Order: sequence, then C-alpha cells, then structure tokens
Amino acid sequence: MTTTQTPDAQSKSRGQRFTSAAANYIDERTSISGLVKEVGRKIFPDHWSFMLGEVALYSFIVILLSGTFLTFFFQASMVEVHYDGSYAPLKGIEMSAAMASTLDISFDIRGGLLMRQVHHWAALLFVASIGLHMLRVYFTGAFRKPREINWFIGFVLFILAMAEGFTGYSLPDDLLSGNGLRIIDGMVKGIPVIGTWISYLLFGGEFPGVDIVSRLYILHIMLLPAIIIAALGVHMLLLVINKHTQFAGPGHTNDNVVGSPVMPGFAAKAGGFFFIVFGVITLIASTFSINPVWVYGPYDPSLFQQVLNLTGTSDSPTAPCDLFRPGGRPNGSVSPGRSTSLRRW
Amino acid sequence: MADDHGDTAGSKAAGKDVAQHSAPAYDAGTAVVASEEVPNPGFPPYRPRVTDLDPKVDKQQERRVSALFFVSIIGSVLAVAAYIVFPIIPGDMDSVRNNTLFLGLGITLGLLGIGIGAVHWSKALMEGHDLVEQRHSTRGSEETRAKALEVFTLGNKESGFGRRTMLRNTLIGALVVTPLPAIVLFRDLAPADDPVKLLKHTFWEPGMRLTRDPSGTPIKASDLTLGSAFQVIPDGINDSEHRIEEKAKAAVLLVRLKPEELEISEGRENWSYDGIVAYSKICTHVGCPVALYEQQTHHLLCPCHQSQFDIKREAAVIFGPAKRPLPQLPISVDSEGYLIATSDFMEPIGPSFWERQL
Ligand code: HEM
Ligand code: FES
Repeated sequence: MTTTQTPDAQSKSRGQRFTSAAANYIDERTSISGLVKEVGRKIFPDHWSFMLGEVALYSFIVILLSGTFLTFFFQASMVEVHYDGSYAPLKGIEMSAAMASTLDISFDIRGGLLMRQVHHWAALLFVASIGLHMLRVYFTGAFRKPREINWFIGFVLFILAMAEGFTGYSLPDDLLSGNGLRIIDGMVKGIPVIGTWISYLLFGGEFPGVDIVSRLYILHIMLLPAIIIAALGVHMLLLVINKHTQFAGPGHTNDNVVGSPVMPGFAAKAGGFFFIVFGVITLIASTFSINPVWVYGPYDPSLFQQVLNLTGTSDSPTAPCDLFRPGGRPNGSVSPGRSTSLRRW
Repeated sequence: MADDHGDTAGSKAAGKDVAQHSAPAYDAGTAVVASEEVPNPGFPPYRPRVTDLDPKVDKQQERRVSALFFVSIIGSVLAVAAYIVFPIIPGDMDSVRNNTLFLGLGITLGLLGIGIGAVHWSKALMEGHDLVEQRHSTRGSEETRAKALEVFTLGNKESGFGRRTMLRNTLIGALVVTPLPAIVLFRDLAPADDPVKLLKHTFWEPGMRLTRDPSGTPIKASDLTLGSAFQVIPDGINDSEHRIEEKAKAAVLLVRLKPEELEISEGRENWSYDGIVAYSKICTHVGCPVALYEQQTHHLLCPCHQSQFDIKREAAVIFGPAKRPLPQLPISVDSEGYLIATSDFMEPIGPSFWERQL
C-alpha cells in the first residue's frame, strides 16, 4: 500500500479500475493501443452527402442480420412438394420446397414475414444508396487520384450488390423468380460461342431444371457476401489511408481535413445513424408488404400473370402499398395462377 | 486573377499575380481554374450552441437524450410482448398482419430510440469544435520507398528469381496450368447430352393432341369461337418425367381468326385449320411467356420487354427487341374432330443461341 500506484488506485472508481484493467489486458496481448492512437482521433469532415455511403454500409449489415435469420428456415431445394401450410388459397398446390418454405416463413413463423420484408427492403435500400453514393463521388470529383482504386472497388461492389439482388430474388422460386431466371437463361444463351453450354451447365440441364435454386443459394449466402465483405474492408482501409475529401469552405485547404474526431463525435453520429437506418427499414418492412410471393404462385413456364395487368381490373392483388395489410391481400382475390394468365384487353 | 479585369489599382501586386499565373499552383489535371479566386478567410469563430451557454438547456437536452434511450428500452420490451400477444393463428391472415405490424413497430422503436438519441447527444452535447488534421501525400516517403525497393532487390538476389529464368518461367507455366483441373471438374454440372440437340426439339409429335393448359383436356376445333384464344400444352405432358422443362419449350397459344384475315406464306398452307393457328408461347427475345393477346388487332404482347407479334402475319415482330417471329406449330384435326399437331416445330423455339442456324 505504499507504492506509487496507491493514490491512483484509490482515486479511481470501480468502473474505471475495471476498464483500465481490461484495456491493459487486451493491449498486453494485441498492442491495440497503437491502433487506437492512430485512428481514434482521425478527423471526418461533415456533409449530408457523405452519409450515402454510410447508408449503403448500414443497410448491408441489416441484410446480413435478416438474411442469417432467413437461412434458419429457408430450404434451398426444388423438390416438388404439395403445399400444406396455413395459406388456404395455395393448399395442395404443387410447388418447390423453396417456395413452400418461403410461404412457411411468411405465414407460419412469427416475425418471419417481417424478416423477409426487412431483408427485401434493405436490399433495395442497399442498391439505391450505392447508386446515389456513386453519383456523389462522381459529381464531387472524389474519384480522382489518389482515389481511383476506391472508385473501382466501389463499382465492383455495385455489380456484386446487383448479383446478390438477382440471386436472392430467384430463391423463393415463385412465378416472378422463374420469369427472372428465364430472362437470365435467354441472356446467357445469347453469349457467343459458349452461351448454350454455359446455360446448360448453370441450370444443370435444360431450363429450369432442379438445381438452379440450390446453386444460386450458395452464391447468395456464402460466396457473394464473402467477396462483398472483403471488398468493403479494402474500401474502408483505402478511405482511411487517403482521408476523406471535403468541400471547400473557410479554413479548408487542400492540405487539411476539418471535422469531428472519430472518438467520440463521429462514432456517436455514425453509430446512431446505423440504428436510424435499421429502424427506418424495420418501420417500412412492418407497414408495407413487398414481394408477396403467395400472390404470384409457383413458377409455371407459360405464365406471367398478375404482374402486368393492363386492364387494371380488380383481380390484380399485387398492390404494393398494403399499409394496413402487411400480409398482402390474402382474401379470396388470389388465384394461384390460372384463370387470368392469358389476358385480353 | 484580379488583373484580368484591367484593375490598375495596386498594379505592383497585380504584376506579381501575373508572374504567379505563369507557374500555376494547380494540378495539371484540374479542369477548371477559378479566375477570381477568393483568398481563404481561415476558420470562422466558433459559434456556441445554446447548450454551451445555458446549463439549464444542457441539462434539459441531457434528459431528452436519456428519454429517447428509455423509449428504446420500452420499444424492445413491447416487441417481445407483441411476439407473444399477437401469435400467428394458422389460416388467419389478420393474425399474420398483426404479428408483422406490432413486432415490427416495437423493434422500430427500440432501434430509433437509440439512433436518434445517440445522434442528438453527439450534436447537442458533445464537444462541438471542428478539429483540423493535416493531410499527407499517399505516396510513401522517398526513404520508405528506397527501403521497400531494397527489400525487393534482396529478395530477387537471394532467390535468383530474375537470374534463373528457366526456374522462373517453368514456375509461371506450372501456376498457369494448375487451375485447369478445376475447370474440368465443373463439367458434370450438367448431364452428358448435347444441349443443342435438346434445344431443337420439343414434346410435340405428329398426331399429338392439343390440350388445355393446365387441365390437359383435348380441344375440338369447334370449341374455338372466332377471336378466342387458348393456352395449350401437348397431350400427356403433365405425366412426363420433366414436366416443367418440357412445358418451358412446348407451351403454345391457339387463336382463331377469320381464315381470310391470315396472310399465309408459301409452304405453310396446311399448317392452320379453318383460321385456327398455333404459335409458340415462348418469346424469341429472351424467353418469357408471351402472355397478352390483343383481341381486336390480333397482336400478341410479351410483358417482359414489350415485343409485339402480329398473328395475322405469321407472328411477325412489329415492335420491341425480339428479332424473329414466334415459331408456328403446324396443326390439323383428327378423325374425332380434336386438334392435333402434324409435326414438331420446324425451328427451335425461344431465344437465340449460338448453334441455331437461322
Ligand atoms: C447484398 C446482399 C444481399 C442482397 C441484395 C439480398 C437480396 C435478397 C432478395 C431480394 C431476396 C428475395 C427475398 C424475398 O422477397 O423473399 C433474398 C432472399 C434471401 N436471402 Fe438475401 N440478399 C443479400 C444477402 C444475403 C445474405 C448475406 C444472406 C444470408 C446470410 C441472405 C439470405 C437470404 C435467404 C435465406 C433468402 C431466401 C428467403 C426467402 O425466400 O424467404 N441474403 N435476398
Ligand atoms: S422476353 Fe419477350 S420481349 Fe423480352
């Protein structure tokens, strides 16, 4: 009790003592203090348009969380089953296990429909915010030296985001999925010389086959997300190395960065903003239905119904804004795909 | 620069500007150089916020942030409650709606409370002065670069990578060839058959009856009134092993027009029966079902990219990205009056592919 540490230890509260002991424990094993010293007070300039990239990043995190939930229930299989869930209009209809499990997520698992809608809305926000973020970078010239590589990585991320969107959209194996896949099949077949074979290998035989959903699934939940996360890591690293650009303003020069430090101002703002993005997505997902696959019915290569209804008559149950019916409009108006598939007007 | 306007006041300074002008301080890549650059006024004085000046407001804002965090706690608890209070009752769609809505709103509160609270804390209460950090060129310093170069030079020297060219080149060769097995390994993604042969044939055979999609009941010529349209599948396709794959090629549209309305080209005279014609339903663009029939003009419309086909002129493309007419299925009637195909399609249906000769 006579060492020099004594007054220090006494003046500290228990919480402080715990924090410093924990910090000490970690630093002695990781030398993380160097990193904290380097980046903890880095300056981030402030402008509303710098938020667009953040929106993209945060919606991606929301996608990861909601997507992981979905994987626990989704069955990526095209085995034919007779639907036996609680959505009456489709009872007994033949469909793939993928479609049936999507219906189960929607109608038999509490919060399942919410998570599907969170996933889908977040996916849309992800792609939209990447697009706006790219416009911001373009019009502020922030793609110029030394940031060309980050522009390129961003472009790759944009393509990967669309690939994720396409593979995800194909997973439920509903009528829209199938028609989307058919278009991809037609495009692939159009590739010179090797197109026919690429399509044949991709689908495991003739379109649509029984393999494509499970093949796209592994791309959707493993390969593409892994590449996206890696690319995001490099994107962020280069951002830190090159420092953020800033708009002209009093005191701003080409040789400085003006703004708030990561700790605490920027971290609080950005961290808070993540929760706001997540909250807004959840709000939209709980009040607006999206991709009501039960309305479209299972894939049938000769059907394209309910999607484009030029007559605008009442048998178009796809109304996207079912504010007070987030479960879609499941009352009777649904025909799983027969009577109106061939429209006349 | 000021002297561009012929401003003579302080011509000495102006002269200096011109001298600087000849050696601009801009990057060669800068597209637009402002000619009337305003000198940088430096940082404006910090404008204190109310929370900086009035401890009462400060306290009030603190309580507000904390209230937001409290709302968040309530929201998350409500979400858990909603999960239990609004279960899904099998078959009851309103219960699905309520579950989604109230669970979602609870989670929303839980998230927005934290989010808005944290941002407000940061804006109203955290130290608000802008800070300045210097930028450094991304390029490493000369010293660092020299060191890095030395590393490479040593590496090269110690390994002999540059000197032993045979070693190096065979290594590169080996690395290029190793991925080959990986490519071969993917061959069995699809079965052994030649896809081109498969694409050139459909389920249709001479004498096969045309049946309604999806019930599979045969169609008599007399079932079709003038102007009516049927979706058609070949007889027996519903029981075939690859039902969906076959249907994806064999789906057909059947329409009846007045025989004199049809423009029939040479060789197709007996492909129709009394004004009844059958065309592939698979779009020749990228393969969507051509699902819309315009009864008045006898146009078919593909909803995917709006290609239009004119039934009167053997499904010629009259609009949109499709390049070829929809293939026609030659039909006739059998002894019992049922419509039958007299052959398979005469050309591959659906989108173009490399091996297609046409
Ligand atoms: C940028 C990334 C991603 C995008 C743009 C995206 C997009 C989509 C879309 C549009 C759907 C269709 C949803 C529906 O309406 O049913 C979907 C389905 C799905 N996604 Fe993602 N996704 C992404 C990442 C992930 C990740 C990382 C996972 C898993 C960890 C995941 C798991 C799933 C699952 C399991 C489904 C099928 C769910 C169902 O059909 O109900 N996704 N995705
Ligand atoms: S698939 Fe028919 S127009 Fe594109």
